[in-house]
Order: sequence, then structure tokens, then C-alpha cells
Amino acid sequence: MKVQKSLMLVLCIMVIGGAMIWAGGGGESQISTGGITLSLARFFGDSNVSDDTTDVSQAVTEADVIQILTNKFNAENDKGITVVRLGGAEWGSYYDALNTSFAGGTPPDIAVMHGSNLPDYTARGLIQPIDPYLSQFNIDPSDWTDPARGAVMDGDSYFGVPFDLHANLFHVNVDLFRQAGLVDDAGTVILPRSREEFFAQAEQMKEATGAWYFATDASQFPIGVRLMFTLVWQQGSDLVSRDGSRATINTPEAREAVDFMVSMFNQEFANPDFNYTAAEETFLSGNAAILMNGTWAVDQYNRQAQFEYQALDFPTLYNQPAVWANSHLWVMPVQQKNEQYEAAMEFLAFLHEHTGSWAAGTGHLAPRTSVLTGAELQQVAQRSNYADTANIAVLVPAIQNWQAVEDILKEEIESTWLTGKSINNALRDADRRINEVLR
Amino acid sequence: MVKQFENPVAYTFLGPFFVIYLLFTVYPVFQGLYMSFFEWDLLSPQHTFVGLRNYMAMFFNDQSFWRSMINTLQFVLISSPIIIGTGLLLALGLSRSKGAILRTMFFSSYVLSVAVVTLIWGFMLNPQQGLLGAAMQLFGLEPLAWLTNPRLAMYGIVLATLWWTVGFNMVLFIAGLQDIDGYLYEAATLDGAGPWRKFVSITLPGLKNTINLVTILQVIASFQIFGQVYIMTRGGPGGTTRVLIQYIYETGFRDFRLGYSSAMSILLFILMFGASLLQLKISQRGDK
Amino acid sequence: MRLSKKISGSMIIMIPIAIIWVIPLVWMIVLALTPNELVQQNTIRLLPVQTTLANLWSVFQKGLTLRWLTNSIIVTGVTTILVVLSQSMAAYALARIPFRGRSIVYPLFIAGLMVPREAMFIPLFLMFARLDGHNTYTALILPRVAIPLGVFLVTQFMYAIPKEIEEAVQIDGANRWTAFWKIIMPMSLPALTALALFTFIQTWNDYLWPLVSANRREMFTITTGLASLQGNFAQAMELGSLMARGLIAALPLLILFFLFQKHLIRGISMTSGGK
Repeated sequence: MKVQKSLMLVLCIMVIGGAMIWAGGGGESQISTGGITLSLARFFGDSNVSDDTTDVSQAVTEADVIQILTNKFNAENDKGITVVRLGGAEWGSYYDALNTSFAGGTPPDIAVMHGSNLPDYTARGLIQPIDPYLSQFNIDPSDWTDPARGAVMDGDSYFGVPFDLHANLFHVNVDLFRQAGLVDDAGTVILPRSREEFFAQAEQMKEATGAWYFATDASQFPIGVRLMFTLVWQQGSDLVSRDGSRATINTPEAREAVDFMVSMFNQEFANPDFNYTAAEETFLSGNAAILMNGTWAVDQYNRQAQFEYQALDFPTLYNQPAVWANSHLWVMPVQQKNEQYEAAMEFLAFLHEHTGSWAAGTGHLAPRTSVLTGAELQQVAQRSNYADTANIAVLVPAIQNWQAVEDILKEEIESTWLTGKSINNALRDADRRINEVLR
Repeated sequence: MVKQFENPVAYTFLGPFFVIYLLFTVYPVFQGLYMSFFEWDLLSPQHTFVGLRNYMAMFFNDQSFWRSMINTLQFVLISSPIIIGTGLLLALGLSRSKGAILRTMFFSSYVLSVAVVTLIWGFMLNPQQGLLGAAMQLFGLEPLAWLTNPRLAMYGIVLATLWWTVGFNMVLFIAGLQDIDGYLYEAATLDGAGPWRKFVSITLPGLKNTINLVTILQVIASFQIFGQVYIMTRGGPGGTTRVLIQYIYETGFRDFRLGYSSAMSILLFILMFGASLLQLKISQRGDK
Repeated sequence: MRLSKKISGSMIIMIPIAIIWVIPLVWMIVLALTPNELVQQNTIRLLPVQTTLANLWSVFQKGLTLRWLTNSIIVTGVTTILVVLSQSMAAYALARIPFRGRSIVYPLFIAGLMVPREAMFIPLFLMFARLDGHNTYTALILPRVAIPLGVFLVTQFMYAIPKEIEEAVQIDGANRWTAFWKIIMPMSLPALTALALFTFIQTWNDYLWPLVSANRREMFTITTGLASLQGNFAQAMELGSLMARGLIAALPLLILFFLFQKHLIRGISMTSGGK
């Protein structure tokens, strides 16, 4: 009897459910009547701010800033355009969702991308060039910093609007440096200017304070391995040939860079087992003098560090200044039907106007020289400490399949300190495997 | 026993599911098979027919494929007996009506999503931040760096997988134990049989179907492991935990080579199918 | 007498194991109740230093959490019902009705379990895209109903039901339908409960397919919706919030299990003649 009752209940639910399915369940879409709706795909997360917040100064996180900017655009544009965000991805799955939408022929009107991923899309003709719209929307490429311009270029055309550069910085615990005698009389932190000075300072730090000299995520995200890229570039070499046809990993410069890192771990100036959270925790709890992490963390550390904190440029340890950087940019995917490029450009131009707000709210570097030197950013804490990073930033080679190349490099180079693989074998294998995936 | 076929009735019972199955499982697989004979770009409409070249490359020219195959086999062989055995032990202890709270406690890990489980265990196994490390220090031991040690990483993943999925096997074994006649146990007790004797002569044979079921499902699930590995170690350190599905995913979605990715999926499918058929044949030989 | 002693004996062993077993969960709950900034300083804590409900509360303030929960309930509920009904019907045919083609159909169904879904879902995606069927409940439900776990599971359990029981009813003139609904299904309650629980949980936690198919915010499930809240390096910056979201997504499932797991236990054995 009880079973029969349950079955009746089940049947009812089925009927109701079936009716709901049939009703489409598509939900009310936010298409404004008579206006234009643009679909936007982005990462950065979701924000607490309500849909009518348009004051950027209320932002605390990346998500806040971009959401407020979107709200502002929706509220203030006079063309009746509404930008609606699509997609439920957390960071790792953003490109999966985006690629699936490309595969299905229904990409969003506007998408954010990393500069390192752009070549995969431009090579397939999937992104609309913005050249025809530059003058109409007052976008001046000569105002862009060189790295930012490189990020959005393919051949002779521009394929998107740069939003920021984000690079690795030396996040420094000034108190520990002072304790180790590495702060000069003017109160400036003395950073090393060569490999020898780096290791000497590390030794000094260990003796004076017992803390790790250098902390970074060397086992989880590809952050530690980007130290290797930086050191290779600082010696004047590169990872692949600039035309992208050959790997150039098996070089003395690469060997030196990996050896630098392995020695650092072997001499216990840094811990190879740290993942992202461990490295950060160690730094924030005052047990590491330097944390190598990106620009995205500046405001967070500024708020939370219980010691005197400074965000500094990555020092030049070899022949020329360089530091790993990537960039965020906004693109317009090519649409098969129903193209709304002019409307999309309105939003892109709007974002281009507000790179200062973005940089102020997130710690990333603005892509425009006028904004970098402008008043808005000078006021924000820490920004002047690492302003030079905008000039020394080096983007990864603009090649197809960069993600595969970076994964291979991460795996092979990490092997040297995680599995004891010899440096020569690691570089040789990396070279071979990368050549297999290059197009 | 009526031996003649009752086709119309049978087909009516089969019908609804059969249609859905054909549309949403069989069709995509055949489409995947079709794609495996092409160099099929994920993003562009660029599809070049290459015949068996993907399969040839896979077998003769791809070290990463074989390494991930070996890693996968390693995982299947290590994890399956552990997870099946633990499920059985838990079920044996919890199959009476009184165990509701305990059953829920052991099953509670299964309701979590893979993202949460890997988050928890990523921290648990971390020497600096995890409870395991802290516990080891309490006993005066040096915390192990599970996920960054090439010898331990696979076991760390097995541990996380065990904690996450054993509830599944436990529930199936509990359901299976219901169908064993209680009187058999009482009769055996009267005959003076001890617990081990009862287990071997009554429980195990009575659970035959369930053991088959659980084993096949466990093996299939182990072959298809992906989420835990991808999130906890990303296939590292040094590629020692990269499993086949991760390689399939990377080939298709990171390198955009959907054809090659499909070919490897087809191969994995054939492998699992063969393993299951083998197991069914072996168990059927002891039947009827 | 000896039987009840055996029960309490095994309980005594199980209780401490169960307590150790849930320690990771307890830790998760503690983190969910700890402010994010404190978690960043130290994650090794089983006893909370300072608790806050903010992480849990903010989940309901951000986004469309209630709408997402509704979507999940509808999609998961309907999927589970369709799976249990259609697949147990198919299992009945496979396990208890002789028919032509059985030796092909059974392996065909089982093969469906061995399809690596990450690899095969692009054709499925394209299929729905062509019919403009994305962002619908149908797209979220039907592909999951097609996963033949139930067929395999219920068939194996239906083998065990003695033939005599069904034959007795048939002699009285009842047809296969009546036998199915009135005899076989009730006797298969533990198996069906297991199937329903597994289907519900797996569908609820499904991520990849809802991610690509339902990409409008109001169509997210609770799983993809909560994922969309995540910022960069979330496990470093907002671990407490991450755990809180995981907790909220998992709690309905846990409650469901607790309520329905008694159906896994059959009070009286099948062959002892009770009903």
C-alpha cells in the first residue's frame, strides 16, 4: 500500500515535471524590448554588487570591478544596448565552455581572453578584427604600451582591445629584509642584481631570520615554472623561435635557468613542495621574505599583511630586464548570423576607456601609457612601486597551441625538482615534445 | 518453464528506454567513431579524412598515450580491490536496520561533488596545510608530500577516491545482502559454523550477482577516472599520474584535435568492453 | 541471541571508524564557518577560532541561488523518475522475459556505461545546437536518462527473484504488466532505491554538460551556478566561501539519503514467505 502511494506521488511529479519541460523552462531572457542585447562571456567570477551599482570605488575584487563596469555601461549608454553575461564556468573550465560554443557555431558577442590564447582563434579566422572601428570609437593604438599592443596583434591587424597586463612581481616582506640587513638607510629594499647576489642574500636571510628567502607555487599552477621563462628571457634567449616553428629549449640559457631553480631548492632557500595556497600562507604568516606571485594579489596582500609589505618589480638578475606577463583582452567572435559588431564595439570602447578603473581596482597593469602615467593610478597604494613592470613585461610567444607548450614545459621542468630528473634530460624531452605540438 | 519467446511484450518493456538510449548514447558514439577517422579540428569546420592514421599514430608513435595507458591500468589494479573490499566490509557491518546514522556517515562523502572532494583532499594531503600532515607531526613523523612525490601521488589519489566513492559500493552490497535468506545463517549457527565459515559458504555465494555488478562498475569507473587526477595533480608530478581520459581531454580540448581524441576514446571503450565481457564470461561459467 | 550480539559487536568497531571517516567533512564545515581572511593564515584547524555565517549567507545573496536550486530539483527529480521507470522496465524484460535479440540488446546497453563522456559529448552538443535545444530542461534531462546504469543494476538484482513467485501470479491470469508492477517492482525496492539515490546524486553533481548546454544564468543548475561565483585562485582567496558553497550543494543530497536509505533494508527476507 505504501509502495502504491509512492508510485502515485511519483506519477504526479512526472506529469508536473513533463508539463514544465514542455513549457520550455527557458526562463525569462533579459532581452530588452526594442534594444540590442549582447552576450558576454567572461571569467573573473561573480560579484555581490547589485545590478544597479555603478560606482567603481565600491569594488573589492576583480569580479566587482567588471560587474560594476558592465552595470555602468548598461545604465549609461545611449544606444539601448544591454550586456548580459553567459556561462557558469569557474576559471578552469572557461575555455572549455567557450570552445564548445565556437564548435557549436554560437559564440558570444563579446568574450574575454588571455593574450596567450588569442593566436589559436585568430589563426582560424574566428575573431573579428577591430581595425575598421578604431577611429570611429576613438581607440588609439599608439597609446598602448608595446607589450599590450603585441598581445592583440596578429600580422598587421588588431583583434581585440587590451584590458591589462598581469605580470609576476616580488611581493616583499620588508620587515624580514630589514632584519636581515637588506634595507638601506633610505628605507629602500635592496634586491639582488645577479645570481650570486640572490644566493648571497638568501644565505643572509636564512642566518638572520630562519625564514624562507623565496616562496612560490612550484607544484600546482604554472607559476614557479614562469620563473624559468623569466630567467631565460633575462639572458636574452627564448623558449621557441619567434616564428614559432621550433623549440629552443635545449640551450645553455635554459640550463642555467633551471639550474638556478634547482639550486635554490637544494640549498633550502625555497620549498619545491609548496602549492599556491601554501606559498601564500607562508608569506602572509611572515615566514617567507619574498613571494613570487602575480599582480592580481597586490591589493589582497596590502590589506592582509601584518608586516610592512611592498610589491616590487622583478629584479634583473642577468643581462636584461624581463619578467613573465600575460594579458587580458576583449574580443568580438565572428558571428555566422545576427552580427552586432557596432554595438559590441560600443562596449569594447567603453572598457578601453576604463582600464584605469580596472587597474586601480585589481592591481593589474593598465595597457595604455596615458593611463599608467595618469593621476588616477598614482593615488593607489603600491602601484608606483612596480610601475616599471609595464615596460619590462615580456609576453609568451604568440604561437598556436601555447597552452600545450606551457604544460609540457611545466611538467618537464618540475620533474627536475619533484622527481629528480636530470636537467639535461628534462630539457631534451621538453624540446622534443614541444616540436611535436608546434604548428 | 515456458521457453518460447514473448517478443511483443518484451519489446514494449524495452521500448521507451531503447529509444532514448539510441538517440543520446548510441548516436554520439557512432558520431565519435566517424570523427576518429578524420583530423577533426575542434574550433573550425576543418575536417580532413585520414583513415586509420589516428589509430596508427596512437599505437606506434605516441609515448604519452602509452604512459597514460599504463598509469590508468596501474590505478585500476590498485584501486579496484581496495574500494570493492572496503565497500563489502562496510556493508557487512551496516546492513541491519539499526545502522541509519552510521550508514549516512559513511555515505556522506559520496554526495559531494568532485570539485569539493578534490579541494578537501588537496588540502588534507598537503604537507604544510593538511590535517594528515598535522596528524603525522603529532606522532613525531615528518609529514609526507603526497601529491608532489612521484611514488606517493597515485596513492594519494586512490585514497581520495576511496573516501569519495566507497559509499556507492557499500550501498550496492547492502542491497545485495538483503536477498540472502536469514534462515540460512540460523541453520548454519545451529550446525556450529563460525563466522568465517558462514561468510564463505553463505554470504559470498549469495552475493555473487552483486559482486559481479560492483566489480564491473568499479573497473569501468576506475578506467574513466579523470576529475580527481586533473584537479589534484594535473597528471603530475612529471606525468606520473596522467591518466588516459586526461590525455583524451587535453588532446581534444587543449590541442583541438577532436579526431585523435575520439580515436583514443574508442580504444578505451573497446578496452573496457573487453574487460567486462571477460569478467561476465568468467562469472557465468560458475552459473546455472 | 547470538545474532544480536554479532550486530552490536560490529557496531563497536564501526563507530570509531565512522568518526575518523567524517573528519574531512567536519573540517570542511569548520572552514565553511570561518572567515576567509582567517583561513588564509592557517588551514589546519578542526576547532573554529572565530565563526561566521557570512560565507553561507552570501551564497544566497549572490547570483540566483534559489532559482538554481529549483532548476536542479526539477532536472534531477524528473531525470531520476524517468531513469527508474524506463530502465527498470527494460531490466525486467532483460532479466525475466525470454525474447529474440536478448543476447545483443544486453551487451548493447552495458556498452553505454563505457563511453567516456568527456570525449563524446561534442556530438551530443552539436545535436542539440542544431535543434536550438540548449538552455532547456529537456537538454539537461534526456542525455542523463540515456546512461544505462539502471539497466545493468536492476537486471542483476531482478535475476535473484525466484521464478515461482511470478508464475504463481500468472497462473491466476495476470499478465506481465501486473506481475511487473505488483510483484517485481515492490520486491526490487532495495535495488530501485539504490538506483534512485545514485541517479539523483550523480545528476545533481553533473558539471560538464550543464556547463556547456545551459549557459544562461537563469538556467544554471546549483552546481554550475555556484561554480560561476568563483573568482581567480579561489582556493587561496576564499576557501571558506568555497566550502560553504559545497556544503549547500551537498546538504539536500545528504538529507535525501538519510530519509530514503531505510528502503535499502528489507525487513523480511524474500524467500521466507513474508510480504
